[in-house]
Amino acid sequence: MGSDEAYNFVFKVVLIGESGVGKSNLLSRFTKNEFNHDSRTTIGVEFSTRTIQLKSLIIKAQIWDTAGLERYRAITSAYYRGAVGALLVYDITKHLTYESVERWLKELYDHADPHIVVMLVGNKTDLGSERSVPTEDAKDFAEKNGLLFLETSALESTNVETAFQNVLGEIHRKVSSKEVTRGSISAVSLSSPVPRAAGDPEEKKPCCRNL
Amino acid sequence: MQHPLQPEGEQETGFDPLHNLNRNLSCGGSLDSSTLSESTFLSYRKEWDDLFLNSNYLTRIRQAGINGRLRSSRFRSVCWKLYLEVLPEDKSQWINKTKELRSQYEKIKETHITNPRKAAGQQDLVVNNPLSLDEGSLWNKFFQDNELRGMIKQDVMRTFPEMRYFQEEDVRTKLTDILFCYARENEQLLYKQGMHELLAPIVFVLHCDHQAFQHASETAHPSEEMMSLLNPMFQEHDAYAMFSQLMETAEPWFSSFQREGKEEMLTSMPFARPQDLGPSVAIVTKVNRIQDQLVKKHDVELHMHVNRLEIAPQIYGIRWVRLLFGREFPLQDLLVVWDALFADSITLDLVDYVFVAMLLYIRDALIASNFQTCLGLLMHYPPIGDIHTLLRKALFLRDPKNNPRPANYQFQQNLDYYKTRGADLVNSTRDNDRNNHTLFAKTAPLNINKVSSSLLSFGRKLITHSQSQHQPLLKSESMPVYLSQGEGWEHIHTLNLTASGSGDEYVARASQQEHRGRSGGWYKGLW
Repeated sequence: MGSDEAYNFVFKVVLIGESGVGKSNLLSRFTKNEFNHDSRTTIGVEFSTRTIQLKSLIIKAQIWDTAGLERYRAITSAYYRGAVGALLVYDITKHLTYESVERWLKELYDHADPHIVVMLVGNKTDLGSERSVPTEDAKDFAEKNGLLFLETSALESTNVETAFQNVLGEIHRKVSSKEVTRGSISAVSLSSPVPRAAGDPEEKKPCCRNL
Repeated sequence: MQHPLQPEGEQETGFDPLHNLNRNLSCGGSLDSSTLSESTFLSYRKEWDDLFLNSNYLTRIRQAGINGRLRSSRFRSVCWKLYLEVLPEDKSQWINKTKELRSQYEKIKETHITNPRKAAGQQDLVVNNPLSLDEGSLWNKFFQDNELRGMIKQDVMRTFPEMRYFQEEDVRTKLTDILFCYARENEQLLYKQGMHELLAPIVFVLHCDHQAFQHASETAHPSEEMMSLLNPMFQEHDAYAMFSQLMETAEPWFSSFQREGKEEMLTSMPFARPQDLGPSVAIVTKVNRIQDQLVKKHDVELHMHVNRLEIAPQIYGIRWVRLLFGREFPLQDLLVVWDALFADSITLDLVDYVFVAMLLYIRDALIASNFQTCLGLLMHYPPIGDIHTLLRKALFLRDPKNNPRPANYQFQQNLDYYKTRGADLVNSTRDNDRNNHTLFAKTAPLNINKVSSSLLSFGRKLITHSQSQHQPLLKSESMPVYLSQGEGWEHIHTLNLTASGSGDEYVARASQQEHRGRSGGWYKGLW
């Protein structure tokens, strides 16, 4: 999980949704395979990374997690800037968190790239008996709005891996199809092995010399 | 008998609330009262007298707070009340003022925490029924209150989860009631996430002092002042008063009120980035001012580095400021930081300098790191060797003439450690931090260096290197891919290829380039 591996792409993915839906635990489940029953309220922004292999490519997922109640333009713009994927999370046991999905979507499209890959994520399927958002409703909504959709449980580690993998795969699909049409692969790929820290001149590779 | 204001290290006061905290994460654990007995109360009394029985006592306790000498005080809450102006300087007013504030809270609580069912008989049933949409309906208020309470409760449940004290139901109820009352008394601001973590340490400090008081008063009769001020019955009342006073200063940092005018920004930021345009929020303005003025003034190289990596201070700084560094240090150290912040001034001016001192403390590691490692360091601040050095550094930065420069100015030892561990820091959470704590504990703590000459040249070498090689080193390794490539990417490369010169000139040119690149490129979302 270190950052000193080589990778072909860095994809920035943001987690959004109401407070308490489990964004931070989805993040920790995916990046560290951990779940914290009493994680603290996220204040401002959190950040974690994980490198995954997608076919022959190494992709570094840079995942940003934000406080559910944060509403500042100057923060949101810094937060969404450069994001190529988003997981819009609600809690399947709390209908209110689902009702605000539309508002989140609007905020996302207001600030992020219009081509951002978005997945609607219904979290906490481990609390199935308390479900208040039917799967079909959310699925329909996702379809109508061109979003990917999955239900997850960060607690039981259900679908978390798949959710992120699907989003990253879709991002890659979008990016690479653009590469083909534009024929500018080298301009997109941030390839070349990455040194442990930028402060080691010896380790540098002239990654973009061919430009 | 120990003088409570003895310098750190010689201090062996009978009751250290946080000593127990370390053992069982709850203060006021069992002390062997038989061995301490009477001498406990004598030392307790003496500590009180030493703190407050002096004509010039306020200045002295301010110094004690600033210099970290309240760490094991059993009257920290009284000191905080004085710093926060909950208590007046005139000691003869203490008891009256305390009574007054407590009855104020009593009324506030009565007003806001009412059950509509109770008052239902007094209202017309047409207006007052559960389905009424009437604004004035008590039921309507009841539903709104429930929503607000739910929001607060959600955060209260997640307050200091590692401490048993905060898992207790009555403590949680107290926290919720205080925050609820505050929100109702401040309808403009209401409740904002993070307030709960400003309140919690206050409640905890009161609790510790109450425990110490009860323990000491088992053996003798405490003074009237002690009995009034440290009465555990009024923990909630006192916490509300202290929290309200603290919020007087901290309020703008929670407010999302957007100021339209950008005059200040324009003067402080000659090369405003797109995200800086538009209405501003006080907290964002504040952290940007810290990064773009104070950091630049004290460490131009560091400022250059974070700007080049496009690390906006609001990404990490909002949490630092809003929680008064509550997540960046363990509680024992945090309370020492708050001692200093409060003692220094109720305006919390020292916050900006603690902020800068924290950045300077890890500056070598930051400068040697790419975007990701930098964010990891800033969002999971590494364990600090000695919190007092950091505070001294902050004081020195603010007023170098009247504060000694912290002694440790040697080249820091574990930069290599950072370079190899930095990557993992990115992935660490609070949980994992514990592991990192032990790892760090084995190595020498970082020294606070402003600019060590060897590193400065090392940094310069880096810049020169990247220029001579025409590599977009930091940029390409650190910035994620953008969906909207095309123009945006060309500009990135243009930026790096044209960057030349050094120091400020480099930054200035880079900023201009970036600005142009962004406005014509990915920021607009061109595909």
